[in-house]
Amino acid sequence: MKKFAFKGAYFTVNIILAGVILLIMGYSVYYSPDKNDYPVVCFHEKITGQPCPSCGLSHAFSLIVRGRFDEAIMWNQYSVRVFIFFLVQFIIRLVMVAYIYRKVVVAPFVPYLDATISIIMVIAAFYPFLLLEWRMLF
Amino acid sequence: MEEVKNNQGSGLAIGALITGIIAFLMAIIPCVGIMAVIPGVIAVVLGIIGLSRESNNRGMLVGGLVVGIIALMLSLSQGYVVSRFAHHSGSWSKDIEKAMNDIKTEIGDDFDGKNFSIKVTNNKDTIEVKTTTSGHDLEKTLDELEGDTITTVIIKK
Repeated sequence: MKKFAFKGAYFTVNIILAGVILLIMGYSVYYSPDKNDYPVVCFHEKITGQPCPSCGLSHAFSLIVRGRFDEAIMWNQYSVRVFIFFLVQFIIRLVMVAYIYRKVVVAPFVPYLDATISIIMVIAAFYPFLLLEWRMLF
Repeated sequence: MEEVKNNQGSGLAIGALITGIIAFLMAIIPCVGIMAVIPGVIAVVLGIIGLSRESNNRGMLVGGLVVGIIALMLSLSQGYVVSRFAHHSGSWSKDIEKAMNDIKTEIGDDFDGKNFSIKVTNNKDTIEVKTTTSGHDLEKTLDELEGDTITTVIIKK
């Protein structure tokens, strides 16, 4: 019973996270980089008047899904790194969903391994933002 | 009854972990970092409620709580950075405006009502422009324009 409950929750978490990443991809596909009509504004820039390290990320994502990588890097130099993170995470979520769906019992170490790999990926993808924030803070 | 209890704990654990992860991802992106306070608080609250009850998903609840707290801390630090930036940029713009006004006033006071002569020499040619900043009415301005003149141009060879 315990294993089943854990498996059910883990399965749901994977599906929801895959959905969230799919929404991010859909947002990038729906809004055109040529029209530049993105609804999400940079709060940092709005308050301080200064652009932040993640400015242009939405624009860059839209360019990446259209295969315009050079332009995307010009909009935000970290965009490709972050996009790869989301893409790999999406694939991992789909693989995990398929794995859990097929298996009746999930091995207890799998979610912990998944969490560890994901934490390493987050640090690798977002460390420029974290580093810049750290510098601004101190 | 046992089944219902398990399901309740599971729902809270899923909610805590998902909102925690979303809050964390928002918090590390500076553009929307401040907004991560909302899902961060939700994750922490769900995690605390879940841990206060009996649940089979304590690992996920703890995970959600920890990620939520980290996201909350990151988001608050972003808010601090933004407020500090805004405070400084506000004072800088006021300082620049004040300095410009001071310079304008000082220049106005120094030059008001005085006569000036600007002389430009190039080899043998010299151009000299004489003028005044004394307050003059429209009649004087008209005189100047007609050539009856406060402003004099002298060309020497």
